[in-house]
Amino acid sequence: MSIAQNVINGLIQGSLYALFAASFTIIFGVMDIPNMAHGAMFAVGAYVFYQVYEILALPWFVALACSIVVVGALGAAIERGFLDRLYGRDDSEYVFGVILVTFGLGLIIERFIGQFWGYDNLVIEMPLLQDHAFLVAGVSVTLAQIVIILFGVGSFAFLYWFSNHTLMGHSLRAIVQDRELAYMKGIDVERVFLYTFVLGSAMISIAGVLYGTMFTLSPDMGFNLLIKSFIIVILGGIGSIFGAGIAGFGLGMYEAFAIAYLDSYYIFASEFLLLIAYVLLKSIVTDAETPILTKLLAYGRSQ
Amino acid sequence: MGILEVDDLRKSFGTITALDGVTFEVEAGRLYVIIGPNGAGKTTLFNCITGRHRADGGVVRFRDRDISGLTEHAIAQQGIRRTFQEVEIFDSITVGESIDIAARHTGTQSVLDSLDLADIEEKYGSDLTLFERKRLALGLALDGEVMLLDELFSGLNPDEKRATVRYLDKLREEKTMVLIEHDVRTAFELADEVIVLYQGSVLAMDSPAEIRENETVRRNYFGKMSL
Amino acid sequence: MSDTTTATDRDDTAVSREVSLDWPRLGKQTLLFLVVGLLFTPLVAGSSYIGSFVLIILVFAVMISGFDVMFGWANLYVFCPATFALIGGVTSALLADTVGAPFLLSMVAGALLAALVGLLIAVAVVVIGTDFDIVIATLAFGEVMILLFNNWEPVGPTGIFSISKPAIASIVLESQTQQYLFLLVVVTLTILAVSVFTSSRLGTLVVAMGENEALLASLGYNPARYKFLTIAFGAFLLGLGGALYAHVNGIITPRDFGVHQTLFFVLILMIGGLRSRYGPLVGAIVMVTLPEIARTFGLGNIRPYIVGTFLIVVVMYMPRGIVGATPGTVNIGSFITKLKIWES
Repeated sequence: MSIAQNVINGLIQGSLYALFAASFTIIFGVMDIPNMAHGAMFAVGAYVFYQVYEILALPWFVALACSIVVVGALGAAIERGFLDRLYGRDDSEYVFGVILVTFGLGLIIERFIGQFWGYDNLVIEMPLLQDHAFLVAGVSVTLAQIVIILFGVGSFAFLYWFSNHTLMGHSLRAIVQDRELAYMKGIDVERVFLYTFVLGSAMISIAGVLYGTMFTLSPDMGFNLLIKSFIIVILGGIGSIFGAGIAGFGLGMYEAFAIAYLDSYYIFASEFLLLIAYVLLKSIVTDAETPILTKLLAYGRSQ
Repeated sequence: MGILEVDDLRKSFGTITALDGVTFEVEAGRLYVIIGPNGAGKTTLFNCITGRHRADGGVVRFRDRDISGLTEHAIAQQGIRRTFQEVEIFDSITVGESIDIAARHTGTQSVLDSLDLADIEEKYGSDLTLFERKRLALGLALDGEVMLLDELFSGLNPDEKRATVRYLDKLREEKTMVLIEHDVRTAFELADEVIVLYQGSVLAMDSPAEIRENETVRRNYFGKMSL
Repeated sequence: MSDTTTATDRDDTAVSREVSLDWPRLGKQTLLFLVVGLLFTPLVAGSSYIGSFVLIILVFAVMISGFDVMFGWANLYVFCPATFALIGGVTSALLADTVGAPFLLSMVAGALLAALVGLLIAVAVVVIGTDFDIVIATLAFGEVMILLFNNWEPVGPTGIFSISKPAIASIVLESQTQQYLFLLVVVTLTILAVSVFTSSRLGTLVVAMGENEALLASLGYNPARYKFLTIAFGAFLLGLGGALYAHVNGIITPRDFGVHQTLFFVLILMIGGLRSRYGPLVGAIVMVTLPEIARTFGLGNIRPYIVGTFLIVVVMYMPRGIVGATPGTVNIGSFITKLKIWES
């Protein structure tokens, strides 16, 4: 495989990762919670599009709109119906509780998708995107793939504009920086939470649609991406959209090039190992108060 | 040489200097009280002595042994115990169980009895009143030769304060105690010596009577000295 | 917890009063449990369908007791319990079938290896310190292990199958009833071990460490030591459970021991009650039988719905929080165990 081919593959994969991770990290950074249902909502976006476009045979923009609306509404329902009640709890209970609740919701949603649409892989036929190809640096790239890359990059531009030039975006950043201070400044934190969650949901539905046009649909299509998002978000910095972008594209590139040398199992494993190494190093470096060895030495009271 | 020596101790948190060269010596068997305005570095001093924080400079010596770099549990094993401003005790185990694990050199029963904890032995930490919690915290610290007590009297009513003074009077015969107190009146009643901490260093260290007359203290710690 | 502390050892002159174990009471409870378990034997013998999932329940009870030690008692957010079980299961299966080692030896070897890996994890836990990061690192570790096993020839993505049945010396436990009796003994011993561990002074120290590490350190105890002990013990039980799973189930697949399984463990523990010796068993009974009941009534596989709903309900309605193990925490498990008259 030529370098150009690898780069293109890396960009495509990276765009998907970055898109998934960006919407994930907005929620994570602003609300301090990992939304374990993100993968399920990704799938819902894809399946709604499939249903409207393939089955009901409506135009693609209608289908896309439906996806965004459905997933956005789902997000709003989750936030208001469940997450809202957990805000009062203290820190680790809150995070832990949200992880379990969103994971539970994700399970239910994925099972529902499986029951309604079945477990066979479904395909979205979009000849317009899938059959037109261009030659870029000697590599054949379909329109669909170009759209994904454009979306990947474009959504970051959108997020940049949003967080820097809109009132809601400013509120978001204020909350990420210092929630107490934001409360005191009069920011309606609860409302921002709702909007953030809906925004993240809308973005992930688009990612789902894009993924669906390029690959196949299955109820658990979002799960692996969710896991990878975790890695990306932590390496890139929780709450940092920019970081998610860099790490996402970086990971996509890494996988595109590494696949020539390593099995996909090993690539996946190496990403987890990187995460573990990062967490360990971070702790060793920042915990300057107590040297590791003295913490470990188990000399202590007898029994 | 005193049982506990602090020599030019320094500690900063970012741009905030908490301890700016603290030096003093503590003799065995005496009771000292550290007073000073908020932010003078009193609790940080305790944290550095007990190993909860690592000092940026200076030395802490216990029985002539340099304990500056040791971990919290190692220092505790040497014989230094403390209580905390926020009255830290274990909520999920009973009073009896807490004293059991804390009292290694002192008998559990004697600790329970000397602090009137025997009656509430089976009560869980979460079910205790403030005064009971303070007594339990005191009990946890009883196993040390040197006891560092942080704001023991805060939040207590006059009766409870009197009771606490009685407890301390009983204990002071065998222990070395260093108290941090905001209740200056009680502090002066109890103390063999008073240490005034101001802006991260020792402003003065003397008997209560001398401190009361001390010009520098009056000038800097104004208002608190009206006794 | 202090129900096993005797109040008779008041000795002013002694160095310190030992929290002595109430052996007679413990013995009685153990015997009672065993007898009750034996009463259920006809149920198992009568139906192979019921028998199969009763066996699974018992295996889960062992595994999750191990998880409770780490997570419930010591408050350590080690999110790779399923991995310890996987290691125990794979080790035991390979030793028994490829090397031909006797079953009991393989089983214990599996548990020991899991405990060893547990020590490694414990080092990471001590180094890392913060709960959230520990969750991330252990979850990641779990996934790495699955990927490695998937890629390792003796196991592979499809796992090991046709694993030999449990055996005591030369007697193979062919029937479900025999396996049931064997597992009953193992579960009884597991619960006994956990009771001894938690009722002793060690248990008090572990709980104290789980609640406030720094305070424990200020009393002269090294928290790290207690993390090592609890994780090693917990991992041992998880490995033991994993080995039992492999031989009773006949198949062990890496993919079944990932994030989903870990969260299932968490759910079982929360339903059964953390820091409760019968909690793992109660939780396992609830979470295994419910989907089976649903299946029997023709509802098909609604397990994800059950698990999902329970996860949500348990979190939303835990009055004192999730790992709120202070006495008086209300949850389904402690309510059910309160009904058991032999445990006042």
